[in-house]
Amino acid sequence: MKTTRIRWKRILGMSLLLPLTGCEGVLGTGETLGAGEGTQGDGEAVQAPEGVEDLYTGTGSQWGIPALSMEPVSSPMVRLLQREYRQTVATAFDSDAAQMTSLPNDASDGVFLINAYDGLGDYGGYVDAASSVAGALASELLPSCEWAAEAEACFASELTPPIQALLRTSLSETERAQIASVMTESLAAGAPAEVALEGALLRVLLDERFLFRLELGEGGEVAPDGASLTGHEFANRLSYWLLDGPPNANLSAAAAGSVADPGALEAEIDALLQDESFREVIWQFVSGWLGIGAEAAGPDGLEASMHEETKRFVEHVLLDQRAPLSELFTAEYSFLDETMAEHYGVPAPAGEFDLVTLPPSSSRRGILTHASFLSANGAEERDVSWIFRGKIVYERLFCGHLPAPPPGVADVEVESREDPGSGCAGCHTIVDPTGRIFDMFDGHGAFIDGAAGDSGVRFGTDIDADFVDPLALAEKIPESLAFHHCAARMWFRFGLGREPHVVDGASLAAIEQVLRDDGSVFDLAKALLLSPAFSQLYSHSSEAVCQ
Amino acid sequence: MNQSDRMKLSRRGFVQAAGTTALGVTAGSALWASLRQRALAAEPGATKVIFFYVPEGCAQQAFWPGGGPGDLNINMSASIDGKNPQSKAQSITTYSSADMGTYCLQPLKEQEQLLTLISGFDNLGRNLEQSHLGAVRAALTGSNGGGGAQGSLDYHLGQHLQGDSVFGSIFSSLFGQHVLNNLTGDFGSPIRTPSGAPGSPTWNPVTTYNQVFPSGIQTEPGEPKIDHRLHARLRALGSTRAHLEAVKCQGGAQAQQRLEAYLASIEKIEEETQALVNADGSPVPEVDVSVDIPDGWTNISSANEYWKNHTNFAKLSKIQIDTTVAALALNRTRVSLMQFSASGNSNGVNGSHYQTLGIQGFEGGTQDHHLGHDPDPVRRRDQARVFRWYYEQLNYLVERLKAIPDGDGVMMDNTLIVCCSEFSMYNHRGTDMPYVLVGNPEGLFKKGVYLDARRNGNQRSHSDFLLGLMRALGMSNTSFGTSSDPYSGFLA
Repeated sequence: MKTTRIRWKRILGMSLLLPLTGCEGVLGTGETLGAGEGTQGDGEAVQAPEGVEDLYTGTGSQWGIPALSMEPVSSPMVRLLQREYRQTVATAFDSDAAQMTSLPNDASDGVFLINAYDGLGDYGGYVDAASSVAGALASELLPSCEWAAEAEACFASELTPPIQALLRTSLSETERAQIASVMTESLAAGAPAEVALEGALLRVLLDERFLFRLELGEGGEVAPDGASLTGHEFANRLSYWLLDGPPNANLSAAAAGSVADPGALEAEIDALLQDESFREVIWQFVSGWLGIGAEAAGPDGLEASMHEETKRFVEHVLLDQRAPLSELFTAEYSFLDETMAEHYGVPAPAGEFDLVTLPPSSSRRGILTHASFLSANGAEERDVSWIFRGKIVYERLFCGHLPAPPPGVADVEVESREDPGSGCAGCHTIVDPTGRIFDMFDGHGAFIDGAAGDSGVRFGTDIDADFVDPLALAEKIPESLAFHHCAARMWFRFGLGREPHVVDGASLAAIEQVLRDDGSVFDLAKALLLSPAFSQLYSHSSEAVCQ
Repeated sequence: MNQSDRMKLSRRGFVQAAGTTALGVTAGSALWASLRQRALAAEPGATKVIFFYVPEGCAQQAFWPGGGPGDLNINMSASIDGKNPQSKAQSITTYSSADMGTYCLQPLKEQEQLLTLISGFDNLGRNLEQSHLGAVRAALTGSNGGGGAQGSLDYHLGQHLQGDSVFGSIFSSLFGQHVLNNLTGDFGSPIRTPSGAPGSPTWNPVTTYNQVFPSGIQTEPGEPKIDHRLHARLRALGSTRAHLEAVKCQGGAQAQQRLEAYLASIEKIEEETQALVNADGSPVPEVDVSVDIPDGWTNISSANEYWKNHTNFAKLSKIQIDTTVAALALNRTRVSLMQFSASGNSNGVNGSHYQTLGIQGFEGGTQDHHLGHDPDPVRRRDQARVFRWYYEQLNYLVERLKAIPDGDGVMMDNTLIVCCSEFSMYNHRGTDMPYVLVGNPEGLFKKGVYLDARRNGNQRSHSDFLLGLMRALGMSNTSFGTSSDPYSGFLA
């Protein structure tokens, strides 16, 4: 197979123009890095954004945010998400046979959907799904050829192309024969052609090259210090992030030719960002980041309306207006139907989910006051909601980390959980006051009278202050370096399926700079997709497996 | 009496005495003539276990008997209307309610002498940072919630009891695919593979039916036909296995581990499929155990996604139960884990499944996550009502098992139903897990009683309960999960 090394430095130089300085340390050797400097995957140093230098050095912490890790990096091998499974079948066979199939659940890394860390041990659900999809595909393909009489020829003409698209690879003659034998043996045993065809389709739908995204990198060896993806792998990584499916011909060509013509790749990415699918990418990011379900809880009613409000709001702010990410928190408008207008106590708009400017009396501004956010992060008893709401602000907007509660303390009374002697104060003095900022909203996000007081952010960041409501908190977010740094980490994690490490310093810095410059999500996407990290693979040998 | 003794007894004698009543047919009828030709499980009277898993625990005051431990008397006058059934972080024995106690159990009044209630166990997995995750992980593994290093109890009992049945254990799940912000099997389902990895809930019990009965259930005697689809499936699995064996060492450690896990799962499914092929010629059962599945539903690529439709919840529940009954009756397995909905389930395409069940007195739009959190008295009452509805389904299961001949009695005689959950009550609490045992295989258990398992007034780990079950059912394990102290207070 022809492979192409991705020249990330050329791409970086072309697109991001971050100042690079000399290297004072190499990862994994134990040398000390200079303040504000980390190293890129192949050893080059990167200048960290001003004010957060310590976070790029791999040691210590700043504002309670742990510095980037210096531990070995491992690029996750993922199984396809449900929507990727369906889209891949659709692309390969030009069929919607898998669109409604019941598939095993997607997993999460704790924030975003990614089937990398789930440890799935039972793939029976995939066998069931594949059996069903194979049956549907066989019915569709049966009329296209004389399968019983001309099995080999039919396999070559009708099955080989979609199978190669499904598996994202070219089949060798041996592989083709192995798959075809599933069909021909069934025919020889007297099976109807449709059943025999179904067997072959089941075989390819169970192939690990379809079900997983396995990247081997240039040379195909384990690469603890990083290796470039092949052009084919890079195109797949890009395409699955943007389109949930295998790359089209244009993207494959652009990725393969990125060395000779880096501009073509950037142009192709620009074109893909205009695709409708990018709207879903952004929704998946925001809904995962802020703990809002990506799907509505029902087809109608309050929960459906609150979901629709937030989804329209996010798309309008980030995609239609191309506003910076921080405007999600400060926008003085939203998109309401009658249900939401009544829920918020504001006049209903003329049309369903029209843009509504929120009056000051509504105590609403930005996504932190959306009922979807408030109910997804605090549909509990009031004092329990404090915890969840404080926790999500602390962990998702400012990248703090709370340890698990000590054993046996789940039922500590609220009055004592912030007492120094309770064993709980370390966390609760952080999250409870933050959660109380939202105390005027009940578990469904409706306004109630009476905040608890003693509320504010006590993270030790540049945003610390007493706040009387979420609006006051939101006003400070656009100026917070801690927020921008955390948002950059979240965006990196969403894109790569792993936390950024010191070796990713240049990539993370580029993303962070876009956020500081009030760039749009289109700028963020390009910063991510053209970053060195996005075309690198890290893997490690195993002593336990295959030795 | 041991199992080999049972096998020597004439099943026909029993059928003539009792089967007619259960089936509503008379000796000498045409149907009776055909029934006499049929055979049941290959090993009549073998012990069987069913796990009946319902999420979020229950409303404690509406569940436990008001009079405290002792002989069980389900109070058919108990009511929760207008009341607020409490669930507290203290032993139920200190705040049980005479007015509300056993309200949830009322559908099981006829089965009262088959029941064992046991309070006093605490699932400490709920102390994990993510309570739902920890509690679910620990529910059937007996772990502390930090991850299961072993399979769930259904797996272990399945290995122990499998005999000549096809599957060690089967698992079915229902309506939980949209667990809030975390859709994993790890979070949503208590089933774990031998390595502690999460199982693969599909939230559609018809997929389990398809796995266990890929050729359907033969209801009339006759020459079995070759199931070409099953044979083709076996070829596809074999080819997949061979390919995986050749490529499993690709990539780095994580990739290799995933491919190893995938290969192991494919190998297991291939073995089960081979066993199904071998079982093609199994005789039809003495009673009709076919599962009533609407036309088109065995196609799980169905465009109408019937399994996500909340109005189908009751029908899918019945399919789930009937599939378990058929699987036990036809010797496909001897252990079944049935999961109804999921912990923290609220954020779905439609989370309204409890609203359409016609539950008497149901007041609100209650979903599972509400059951687990919301302190509103309406939710507390609705939780009791939902739990009561589940126990109506449990009663249906018991009646089905009573109607099917097995060994020298009926299947219920040889079956233990373990009612379980991951929490004991709302607010992520785990004290007084709502454990109920139904049935008494081999006369092992105290029956018609409510027991409290606390020791010196302290709750015991729920893993003691799970280990106690293993020991009671003949396993020799000295530890399970965090326990090396099996509970034995429920033994006769």
